[in-house]
Amino acid sequence: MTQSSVAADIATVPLFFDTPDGARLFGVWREAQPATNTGTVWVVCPPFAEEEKSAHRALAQVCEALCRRGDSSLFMQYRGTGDSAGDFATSTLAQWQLDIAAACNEARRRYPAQRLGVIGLRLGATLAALEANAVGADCLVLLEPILQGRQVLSAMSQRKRLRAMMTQHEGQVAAESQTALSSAPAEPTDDIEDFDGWGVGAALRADLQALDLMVQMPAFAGSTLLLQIGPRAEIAAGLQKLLARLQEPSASAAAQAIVMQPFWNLLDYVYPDALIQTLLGADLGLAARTDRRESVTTYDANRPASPPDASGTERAVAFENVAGQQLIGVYHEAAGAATAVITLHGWTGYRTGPHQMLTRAAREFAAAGCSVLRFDFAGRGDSGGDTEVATLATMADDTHAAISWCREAGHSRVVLLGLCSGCEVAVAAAAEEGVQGLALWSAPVFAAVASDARTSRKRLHHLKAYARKLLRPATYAKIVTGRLDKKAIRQVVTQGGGGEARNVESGEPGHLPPGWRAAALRGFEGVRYPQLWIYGTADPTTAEALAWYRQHAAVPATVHLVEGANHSYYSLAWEREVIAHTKAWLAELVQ
Amino acid sequence: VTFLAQPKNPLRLSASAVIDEYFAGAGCPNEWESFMELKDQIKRMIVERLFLNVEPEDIDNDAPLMQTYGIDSVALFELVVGLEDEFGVVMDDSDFQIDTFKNVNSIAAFVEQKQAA
Repeated sequence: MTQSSVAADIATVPLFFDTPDGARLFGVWREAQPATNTGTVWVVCPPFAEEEKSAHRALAQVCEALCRRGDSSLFMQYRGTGDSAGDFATSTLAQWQLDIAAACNEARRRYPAQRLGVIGLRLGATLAALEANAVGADCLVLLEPILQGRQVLSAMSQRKRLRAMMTQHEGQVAAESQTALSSAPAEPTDDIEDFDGWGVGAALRADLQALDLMVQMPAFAGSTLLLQIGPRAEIAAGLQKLLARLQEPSASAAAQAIVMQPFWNLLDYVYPDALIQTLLGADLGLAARTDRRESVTTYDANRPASPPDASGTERAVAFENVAGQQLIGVYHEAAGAATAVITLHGWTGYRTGPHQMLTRAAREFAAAGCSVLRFDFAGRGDSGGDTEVATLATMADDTHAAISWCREAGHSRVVLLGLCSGCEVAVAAAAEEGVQGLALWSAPVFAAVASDARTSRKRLHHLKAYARKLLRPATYAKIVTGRLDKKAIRQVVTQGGGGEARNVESGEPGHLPPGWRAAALRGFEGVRYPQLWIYGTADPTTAEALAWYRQHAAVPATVHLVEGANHSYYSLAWEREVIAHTKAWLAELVQ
Repeated sequence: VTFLAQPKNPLRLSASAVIDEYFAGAGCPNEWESFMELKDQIKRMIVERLFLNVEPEDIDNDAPLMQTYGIDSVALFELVVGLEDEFGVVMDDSDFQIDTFKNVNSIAAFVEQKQAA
């Protein structure tokens, strides 16, 4: 498996643009450099809620791949989601369809003579299918479209129950580690249903209940590619029906199954190689559609994006790290603020955080007088760099670049706010000049290698499996024919393999430089400014991590435990509590 | 004991698994075979849905799935979808219990109970 970083031949421009009804949307525009679009301009429509967070990097990589062959893309975010303005809880599907239309207009504004393609994933595919005809798209790519909106609600309910089940279980583990037992979070009192920190309002729930793609989809004259993504090579019955429906108006439509993990439902990254190869190799009937394309047009790079909103408080930003990779972010400006908060997202997340928590926190802090910079580490979100070679060390370098950016923006002091692994990055950058405080949400033990107990347990299991295999004739056939995966066996027996080696110091790509952990720890142990540590009591790592931080911090920190909360605060009530305590702590710190 | 003669490959059946089978109440040979087949189907579903890099037959019936294969709540959702799609199970609120998803034995017992209901 290989993957590519954002290279110098791709321009990545984060921007805000407006919808006709006044909403302000965030998107990331990508195009090949020099700016000569020779193909299609794509609008990429993300999936719903937490699926968007999981799929974000993969979709950004799809955009990059399209760009490399000469296409351009606008990776959009609906109002109330990601970095776009608005409140998720009060959004509706009709508004999100307007947002897709606005994104298509924005893409067309940049390359008016080019063909327009729309790609959507899951609910994004469904909305794209509903909107494709109205926006005059030339082609449509539907990735695992949701056929009926109630499937979304059902899936969210099941995920919520599973998460509650796991939180309860982990809470019992945590209780054995001397913290309190998990308790269910309080439900919001208004007409908002809490799906793991995503507040879904009554209007959106009603929209989803009523959504039926087979019934509501208008005829589309362009070409459509329907892609099934999952474990099966046969197209499922539902998608076959959709394919037949798409072919009804004698339009060009094809379906294909891609056997790969559903990357919108994973905590870890999966490079979407199979998806990208399929997209690049697909015949979308574009070559024959020359009616719209009159000539190759070039985009005026100096043309300004839409101006900031009236308050001017949120700006899309891009800056470079020490390796020359472009880091993408959003800056929330509070007028006259000397201090800026820099948010540091978790290992597999991006700048918005789980259930959009970092976006919401930043808005509250900015409203209270603190500027905030949220950005993606290299290899994460929309930033350049390889996903697999990012380490705590590279992330600390990125943080250094963010601190420099804030200094240039007029902030002489910064507070580092980390979430999960972002806390480890904050610890590593704690001694940087200008840092005046650390806020750590669910900080794990700093730069720990995988726990010996877990590694041993996994190793024992794999050794037992290999021992059983030794009893099979097929194993000896593999040995004789040289088909035995010696590398995998050696990895299992000696190291545990894969992510278990995350914080190994070796200097190899993807590993920490030798001596890095000790040097970073010395820096952290030397700082004497205020710190805030927040943990959920149902997070099984809380007791061990708190003990570690108490041992290594030079001064006592403010500690707040969120009763019953899990590691990523997957409820609106827990999220509000974390943000409120941090806001109060920040107010004291910067006064 | 009749059921001890049934395994296709007795070397792959640990003593604890044999005892589990017995105490699962599947004493009749046909029921026992059917129950074993159900477990095999569940293992195939787990490997396929979670893209695990193991052979289905290498999963112990009593191996703790979450600890051994790093299955989190997100991956559990894929298993729930698999149980619904491939075994016709309809999950009730009360079915979301950690013990249900503990290992292949517990999932098989759950599926059998739901299918019988």
